Amino acid sequence: MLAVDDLVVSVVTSLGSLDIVRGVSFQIAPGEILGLVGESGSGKSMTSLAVMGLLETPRTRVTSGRIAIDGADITHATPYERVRKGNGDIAMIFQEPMTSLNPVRRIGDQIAEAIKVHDPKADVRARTQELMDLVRLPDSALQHGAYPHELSGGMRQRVMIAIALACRPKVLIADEPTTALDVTVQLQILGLLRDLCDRLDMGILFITHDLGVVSQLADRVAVMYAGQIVETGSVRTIFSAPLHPYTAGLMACVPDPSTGHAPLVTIPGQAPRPDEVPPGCPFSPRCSRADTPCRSGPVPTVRAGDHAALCHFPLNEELVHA
Amino acid sequence: MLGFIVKRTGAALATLVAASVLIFMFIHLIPGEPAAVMLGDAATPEQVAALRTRLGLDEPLIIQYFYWAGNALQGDLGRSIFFDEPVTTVIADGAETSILLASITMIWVVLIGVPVGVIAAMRRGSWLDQGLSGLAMLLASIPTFWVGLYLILVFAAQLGWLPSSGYPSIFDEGGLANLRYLILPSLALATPNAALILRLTRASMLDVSKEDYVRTARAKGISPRQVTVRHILRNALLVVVSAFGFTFAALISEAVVTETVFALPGIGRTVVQSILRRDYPVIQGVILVIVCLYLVLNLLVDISYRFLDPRVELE
Ligand SMILES: Nc1ncnc2c1ncn2[C@@H]1O[C@H](COP(=O)(O)OP(=O)(O)OP(=O)(O)O)[C@@H](O)[C@H]1O
Ligand SMILES: [Mg+2]
Repeated sequence: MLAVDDLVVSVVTSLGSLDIVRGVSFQIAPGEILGLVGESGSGKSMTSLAVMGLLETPRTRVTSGRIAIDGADITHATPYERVRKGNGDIAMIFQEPMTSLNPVRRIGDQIAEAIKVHDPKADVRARTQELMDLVRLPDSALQHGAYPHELSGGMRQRVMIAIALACRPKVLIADEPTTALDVTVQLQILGLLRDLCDRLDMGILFITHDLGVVSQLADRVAVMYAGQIVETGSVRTIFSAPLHPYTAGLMACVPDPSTGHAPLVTIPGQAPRPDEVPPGCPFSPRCSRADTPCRSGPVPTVRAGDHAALCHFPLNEELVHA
Repeated sequence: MLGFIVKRTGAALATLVAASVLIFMFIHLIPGEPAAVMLGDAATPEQVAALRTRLGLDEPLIIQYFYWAGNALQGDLGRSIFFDEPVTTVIADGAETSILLASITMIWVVLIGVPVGVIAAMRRGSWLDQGLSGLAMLLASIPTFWVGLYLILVFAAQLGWLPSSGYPSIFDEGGLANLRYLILPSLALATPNAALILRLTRASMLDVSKEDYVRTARAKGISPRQVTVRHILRNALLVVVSAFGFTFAALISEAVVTETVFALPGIGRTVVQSILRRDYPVIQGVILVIVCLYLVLNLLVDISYRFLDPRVELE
């Protein structure tokens, strides 16, 4: 189980140190998919890179908080350090399958490399075949020592998933893995991830700004805004009764096919840049429910069952318990 | 692969034809009667007429070109007016020195430029990197002859470790030990080029290390050294390899100066002297040989690029 506790990620800029991720906490249990949604720039990728240990240190780094997998502290650890300490079981796939594979090395070699890091004595051939079967890559994809440019985007993303699975991860981080793919391929990859999650009892942190994808794929959702998680809960409760006005706004932006061509709704204004996050609730300048308490001081956490949000004046107030 | 080589060779041959026309036209573009210019003021009209006939200058231009090119194809580049020897003999006399000088220089360039560039990139931002990059910037901007004079001053005049001028053949007395005569000249010639390759290697290492696939490699959990060698270096070298062709071109013009500074009996010095002597057949012959070398080298670069980068299509 992955546990992230009060994570703060800062980046050193010409303006000084800026907090990009501001106190994020979440957990992912085995076999569970957590969808992390939010607008562009809300800090989703930063959060995932921090968990993975891929931040560009020393410019960008975890300044406080704790990341642990099955109780082992992996805060600040790079993948190499994690593998050496036997905590190598987190893997990641990225948005751009076209550029995420080394163009001048054979695909087979790139998979083999990942297998050997985690198990130098592995039977590479058999293990590669096993991984290819898992991600449903046809044998032809690796025949004749193929190079990445010979495969389609969907195939390359499958190769990326195979590389990720080589370490038998307990948690897979997927940062917008289907954004660059066309719709049918996107659905195949989503189906594959769901299937792998169930079969391998693997947790997935699925990052996207597509709420539609989250509603189909995820078990739980975390909504991120200006570096904070402003609402979490199970997919069912969040979609049926959101507490945070921002979540409700995001949902209103998704075109609903059942109502025909409804006018596109947008949330007024823009998400704040990390250097100009307003005091109080960061969403207050764009929020129709905001009032004096929202504009300064700490924001309370409101709960309804497993569902929690950071808000003074939540929606569906009747569900909230004190 | 074969089709690729044939295509590239065809392109190189076309370039060679175009270059040969330019080289041929050179003596006709110089103001004045070519034969008279070559013989100088003291020549009698009879001597001029005799040279005209010998060089075939009475024929129409196009016939002259085919005559000249046809002979060149058969390895006959004409006769030197000054030495009254075949041009090929004059070139061959300087070839040993020049080929050895260029080869040793390229070895320095690769052996120093690439590894030091890699080290600077791996330690980017450190004092080591800043020192090396600053030094490279300085060395790249100093003219070769000046580096040469400095090396002579320090290692020949002051310390007396190495000879400062001339080069006896390795086939003469002294054998391979004669190569020590080429150490200072090759270092002088290598300095600015190694500095450029160093900067290029460093810059392209840093570029590549920002690529998505390098992040993928890191995510696998392989060691930082493996990330550098297996994923960054190979892609960075693609850029460096394609620069070698240009380095060679720079080398040739700088070699002319270096051979003069170190009084080396090479082709570069032959060119300078032939220009002063208005020995045009030699100049034409040398330039033709250099163009051929350049084209062959670039062909080799293209082919090795094809091996390093599977994406280069066999167009
Ligand atoms: N090196 C950096 N220097 C300064 N600011 C940075 C740097 N890298 C990222 N940021 C800022 O951090 C914020 C969060 O970036 P992040 O990539 O995590 O967003 P995201 O939620 O993944 O967005 P997207 O949906 O576009 O991928 C952005 O506002 C970005 O401007
Ligand atoms: Mg992102």
